[in-house]
Amino acid sequence: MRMDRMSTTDDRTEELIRLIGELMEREGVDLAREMLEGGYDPLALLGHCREAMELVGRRYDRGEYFLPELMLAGEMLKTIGDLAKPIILSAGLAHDRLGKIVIGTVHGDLHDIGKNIVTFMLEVNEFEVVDLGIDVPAATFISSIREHRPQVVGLSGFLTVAFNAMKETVDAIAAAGLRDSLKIMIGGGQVDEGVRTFTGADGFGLNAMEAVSLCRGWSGK
Amino acid sequence: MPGLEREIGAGGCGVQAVSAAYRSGGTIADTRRALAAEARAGGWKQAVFSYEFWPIAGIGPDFLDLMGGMRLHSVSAAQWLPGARWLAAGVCTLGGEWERQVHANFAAGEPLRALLLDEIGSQALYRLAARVEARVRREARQRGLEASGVLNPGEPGLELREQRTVVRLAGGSRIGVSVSHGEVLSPMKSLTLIMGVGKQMPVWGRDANCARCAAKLRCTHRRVATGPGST
Repeated sequence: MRMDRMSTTDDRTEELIRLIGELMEREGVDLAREMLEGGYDPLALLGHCREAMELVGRRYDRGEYFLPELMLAGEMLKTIGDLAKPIILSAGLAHDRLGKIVIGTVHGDLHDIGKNIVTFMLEVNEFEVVDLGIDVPAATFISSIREHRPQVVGLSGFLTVAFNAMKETVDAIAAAGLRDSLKIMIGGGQVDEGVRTFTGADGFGLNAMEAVSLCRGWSGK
Repeated sequence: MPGLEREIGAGGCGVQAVSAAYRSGGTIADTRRALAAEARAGGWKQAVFSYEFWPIAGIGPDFLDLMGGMRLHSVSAAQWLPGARWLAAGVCTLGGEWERQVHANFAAGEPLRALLLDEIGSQALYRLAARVEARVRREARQRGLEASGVLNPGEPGLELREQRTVVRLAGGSRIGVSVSHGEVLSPMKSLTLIMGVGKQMPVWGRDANCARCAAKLRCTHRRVATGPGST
């Protein structure tokens, strides 16, 4: 038996947030598609998705969710974003991204899992990310900053030996006269406030959500 | 005496659960199962390990001198293994294909698959390292000796820069493991260890290594395992 009921906008909104928050991928994406096809404001819908993402982020912070759950929620957000994007463009509703970020694993370190996760989470949270890859020399960061003019530079490094490379990169950016125009965040398994002070970065994050929070805070949005 | 073992393409991942994701149903659990099956079918796990026993010629305050002129710098090994007669050095790897698959999934816009595959690989690597440890203990017993707990480069007292020495001592070149600049192992899903072998060797578990770790206060895995605010 099929039960039909006219959902109010609030009902559907809350249900969408719940489905994403509970990581019910197929149901969440289906509801989002249904809402968009029914004429729901795509920008408002993406706003609700971000609310759901914040819920997932809080659960991650509390240790209720782990990285796979965070990534799945991110993938749901990306899928829904892809559904909404043509409607937004055709209606002339496109708006600027929250900011541009240049990110890379510093010279001497070849680890890229953490950087890739941060890149993905920043992208699904509406930042434009230029990923320079691994083992990135300071000179490459500088040329990329000049080319892309980012608001934030992310330096990733898993190993403790990456700390010197992070400091060298921050110093090189300063020597190139680019330091005042941007914020620098560092991330990786071993970073803390002491490492942030040593490297001269503006902030550090222990996980992808902290990186997103830093960038949101700096973008003022 | 060198030990070398290959199990290329053998078995499945068979890893234990490491996160709630694996205990839950739905997409994540399904994806993990599918990945494990793909890994088995594709022979992505090319597990190999090698170890060697080196006679210890002398122990200083922060180093071990080995027969043949090699020296391993390690405060922790020097302090905790004063009665060791041999140093066992081991290296193991899942091979390069696993790493290529992780990167390919990221490149294909499949970050969840990439992440799960990386976690599965890490667990498989730890299990492989446990096999190396067990083999060293067995060989020590066969010599009428005991093996100590495990030390890994990068832990306090055994700096990461000693990675190159440990790989050389363990015979890493025989199984295709090398150290790049920055002391990163290649293939990346590789791991090295050392153990002391002698009479009445101190034995410690992973918890002891965790307790000594400089990152213990901010370690996510530890916080999740022991609850918020635990030290």
